[in-house]
Amino acid sequence: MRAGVRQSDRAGLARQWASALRTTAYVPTSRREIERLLRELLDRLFGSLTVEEFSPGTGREVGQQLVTCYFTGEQSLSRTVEVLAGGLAANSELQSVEGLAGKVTSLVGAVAAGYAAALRAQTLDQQEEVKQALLQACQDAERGWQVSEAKFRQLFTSSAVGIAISDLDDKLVETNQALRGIVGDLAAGHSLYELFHPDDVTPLKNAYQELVDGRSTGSRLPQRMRLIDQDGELAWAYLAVSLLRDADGAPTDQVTIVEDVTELHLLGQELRHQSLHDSLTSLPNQQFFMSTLESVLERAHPATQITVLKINLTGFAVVNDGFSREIGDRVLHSVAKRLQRVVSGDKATVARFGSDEFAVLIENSPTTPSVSALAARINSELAEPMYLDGRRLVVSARIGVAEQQGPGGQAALLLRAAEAALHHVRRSGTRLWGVFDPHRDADHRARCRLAAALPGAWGSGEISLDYQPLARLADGTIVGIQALLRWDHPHNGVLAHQECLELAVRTGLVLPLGHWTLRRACEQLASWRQRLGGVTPLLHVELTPQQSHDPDLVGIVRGALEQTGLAADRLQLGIPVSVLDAGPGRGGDNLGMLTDMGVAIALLGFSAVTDVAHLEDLPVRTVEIAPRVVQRVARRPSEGSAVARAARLLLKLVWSCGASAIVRGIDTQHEADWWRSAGADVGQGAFLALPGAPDKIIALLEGR
Amino acid sequence: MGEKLAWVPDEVNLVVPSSARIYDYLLGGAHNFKVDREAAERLLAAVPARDMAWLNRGFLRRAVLFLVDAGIRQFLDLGSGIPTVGNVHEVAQEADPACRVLYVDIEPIAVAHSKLLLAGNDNASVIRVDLCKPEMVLNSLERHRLLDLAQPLGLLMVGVMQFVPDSDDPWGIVADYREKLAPGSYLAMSHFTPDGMPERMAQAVEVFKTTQEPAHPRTHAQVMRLFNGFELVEPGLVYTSQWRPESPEDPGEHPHHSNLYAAVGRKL
Repeated sequence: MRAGVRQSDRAGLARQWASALRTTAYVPTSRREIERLLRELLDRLFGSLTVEEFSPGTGREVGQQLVTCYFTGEQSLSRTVEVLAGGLAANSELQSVEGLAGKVTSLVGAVAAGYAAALRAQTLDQQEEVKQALLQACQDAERGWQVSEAKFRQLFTSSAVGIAISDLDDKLVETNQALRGIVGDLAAGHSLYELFHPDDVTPLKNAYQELVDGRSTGSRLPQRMRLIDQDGELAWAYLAVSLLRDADGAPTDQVTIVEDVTELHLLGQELRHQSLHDSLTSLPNQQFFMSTLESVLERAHPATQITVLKINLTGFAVVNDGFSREIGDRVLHSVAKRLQRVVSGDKATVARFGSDEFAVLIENSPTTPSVSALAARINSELAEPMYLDGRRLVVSARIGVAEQQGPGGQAALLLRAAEAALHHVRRSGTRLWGVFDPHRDADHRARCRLAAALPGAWGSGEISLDYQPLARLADGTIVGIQALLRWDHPHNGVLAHQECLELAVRTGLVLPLGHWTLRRACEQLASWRQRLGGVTPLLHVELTPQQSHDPDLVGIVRGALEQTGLAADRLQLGIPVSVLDAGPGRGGDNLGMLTDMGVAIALLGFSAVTDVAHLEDLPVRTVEIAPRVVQRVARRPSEGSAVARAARLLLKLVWSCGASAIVRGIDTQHEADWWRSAGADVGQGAFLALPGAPDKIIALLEGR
Repeated sequence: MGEKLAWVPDEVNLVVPSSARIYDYLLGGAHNFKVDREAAERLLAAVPARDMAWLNRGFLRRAVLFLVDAGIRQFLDLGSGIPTVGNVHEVAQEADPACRVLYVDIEPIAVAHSKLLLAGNDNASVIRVDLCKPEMVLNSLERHRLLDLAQPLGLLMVGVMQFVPDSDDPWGIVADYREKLAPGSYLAMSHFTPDGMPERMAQAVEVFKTTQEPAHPRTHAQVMRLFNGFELVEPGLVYTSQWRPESPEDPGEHPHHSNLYAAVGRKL
C-alpha cells in the first residue's frame, strides 16, 4: 500500500507539471501523451535522486528533452523550475534521501542549464535552417531564371512560330529559323518594318508605342498583317508584340511573334469563294449578287441607270429530264458563258441563283444597249444551238427587267421588281421579256391581299348571291335567272361575280364556293317557285373549269336538287367549252351524266366556228357566246366588220345545229336588236336588268 | 534585415512580413525574421494570436488524425507555410507511415524550407504553385505522382483561405478542387472570422495589410458556402477549439477567442 501512495504522489506531481506547462507552449501531441512523457521525465529525476551516487547529469538530459518535445514557450522553463523545486523537495517518497534539499537544487539547476543549452542550440539550428532555406530560395529563383532563359532560347530557336527581336530603334537584333522560313534571311541591323507590307506598318508601330508608353502590356494584334519576303511574295500572319525589360524594368528590346496563317488565309479565301459562288458555273451566287447589288445601290452615281435582269430558262426541265443531269449541267455552263459574253462590254455581274435561274446586274454606261436590245441579244445568243454528245440543243429564256436611276433603295426590292416582271412575262405566255410596271405590281399585290381575305370574308357572311334575269330577245320574256357571286367588301365596295371567281381560284376556294353557290341558288329558286305557284324561269348557274372537272360534281348537283325538291329540268348549268376542247375526260363524263339526269347544259365561251363541232357530238342544245366576241361586236357594230360577220356566221351555224344561243353582257337596246337580228335567242345585260338581290328579282317576276 | 539585400531575388521577399513566418513565430519557432516578429507582436496587441495559432494547429492535428481514422492515406496541404511543429506528415505518418503528403505553397522561402526538411522522406514532398490556380496545382500534382487523384484524399486548407480575396472567388477555387476529387475525399478547413471579436479582428486585418498576405475574415455563412458540395461531419462548422476536442473542457468559456471557424466535410 505504501508503494501505491508513493506512486500516486509521484503521479500527482506529474499531473501538476503537465498542467503548469500546458498553456506555455504548443506541443503537437495529445494531453495523455504529454502526461506520459512528463511522468517518464519525472521518473528519471526521481531515479537520479535515489541512486547512491547522485549526479546532476540526468537533469541536463531532462532539460534537453523538454526542448526536443517543444516545451519551448517563454514560461515553460520557469514553470518547470517552480513545480520541480517545490514538488521534489516536499515529496514524501524522497524524504529519506540524504541532503535532499541540496540535491534538488542542484538537479533543478541542471534541468535549467540543459534546457537553456538545448534551446539555444535549437534556435541556432532553426536560424541556420531558415538561412539555408533563404539561400535555397535564392538559388531556386536564380536557377528558375536560368531555366527560363534556357527555355526562351529553346523556344526561340525551335519554335514553329516566327520571332523577331529588335531594339528600340526598330533595328533587327535577331530572327529565328521559323521567321526566316517565312520572309527569308534579313540581316541584323535592317529595320523590323522592312518585313511588312507598307500599309501594315502603322498599326504595328502604334502597338509598340502603346507598349513603351505603358498603355498596354503586350498584346496580340487583332488584324491579320501582311509580310513580304525577299521575292516580294505576301505572307499573312497574326502578330503579338511585347517588350523585353532590364532589371529596373526599363524596356530594352521589342519581341515580335509572327504566326504564319497564309495557308489559313488562302483556305479562307477559297471557302469564301465557295460560299459566294455557284460551284457548277463558277458564277457569283444569289448571296454574292445581292451584296454586290447592295453596294452598287449605295454608291451609284445619281445619273447612272442600274438595271437588274432576272432570267429564267424555258424548257430547261425538259433538257434535264429528257437527256441527263450531266447534259443539263453542261447546258447551264454554256448559258453562263453566253450571258457573260452578252454583257462583257459592260460593268455587269452575272449570277446563277439556282437550277435554271440567272440574274444580271448592269451599271449602265452610254454604250449599254437598251433593255429591248439587251433582251434580244440574250435570246439570240441563247438561240445558237449547242451541240452536246452529238445532240443539238436550243434553250430560250424569259427575262424580267427592273431599272432604277441613281443610288438608294433596297436591293431586295429591286430584285423583287425584276421577278414580278418575269412573273408577268411568264403568265402572258407569249412575250419573252418585260419591264417591271410599278402600277401593275401594286395592283398585283392588292389582289393578293384581297384573295387572302376571301376565306375570312366568306365565313363572316360578306359573300352573297345576286341574281340577274335572262330574257328572250324576241319578246322580252324572262326565261332564266343567273346566280352570281357578290362580295360586299368593307373597304373596296362591291366585288362582282367574275372578280370573286378569280380570287377564289387563287386561294383554292373555287370548288367549295362553287358548291355553295349551286345549293344556295337552288334553295332560292325553290322558295320563289313556292311563292309563284310553281311557275319560274330556269336557274342558270355557270361552272368554272375546276368545277366542271370535279368528280364530285354530279353528286353535289343531285344533292342540291334533292334537298330543295327542285326538278332537274329547272336547272341549267353552264360548262366552259374549253373543258371539252381538252379531249375526253371527267368534264365530258360529268356533262353526259348531268344530261342523263335531265339537267340542261349550256356550253360557255363559244367563239369559233369549230366550237360547233361539240353540238354535233353532244346532247347540248344551248350555247353562250364568249364575252370577248360580245365586246368586240359592241365596239364595232357596223355590218361590214369582220367580227360582226363572223358572229353572224357562228349564230347561223348554231341555229343550223338546232341549238339556241345566249348572249350575255348586252348593254343597250341597240345592241340587243343587233343580236336578235343576227339570230341570238336569249340576252342578258344592262339593257334589261342589272344583277340584284332576291327581293328585286321577285318583284320583277311578280310584275311580269 | 530592414532593407533589400542585393543578392536576394525580387520574388524572395524579406522586407515585407510573411504570414507563414508570423505563424511560425507564434507557434514558438525561430524560422522567422525581425520584420515577421514585429508584425506578430502588433498582431498580439490586437488579438490573442498565440492562442489562435495554437488552437488552429491543434485543429489541424485532430483533423488529420480523424481523416486517418476515416481511411484517408493521402493528403494535399494547400498553403502549408513554414514546416513548424506538428506538421501534417509528422502527425499522419506517426499514425500510419504509409501516409503520403504533398505540401503546396507559393512563398519561396517556405517552399525551400520544406524541401530541406522533407529531404529523405519518400512519402512527403512540396511543390511551389499558387493555390488560387487549382488547375495548375492539380496538373503539378499529377506530374508529381505522389498522390493519386483517383483515390480519396484529404484536402487541407487550414488557416489559408482568408488570404484569398473575394475578387479571386475563393468559392469557385474550392469548387474547382472539389470537382477533381474522388468521391469519399474530405476537405478540412479553418478560416478567420470576424464573428467572435469583430473590432479586434478589424485591427488584425489592418496588421495583415502590412504583410505579404492581407487577410479577409469571413462570416459563418460565407465560410459555410466554401463547403458547398461537402457533407460536414459532426459537429459541423464551429470554432477551432470546439471541433472534436480531446476533452469536453478544452474549448473553455471563450471558444470564440479562437477567431477561426473549422470544419471537415466529405465530398458527396
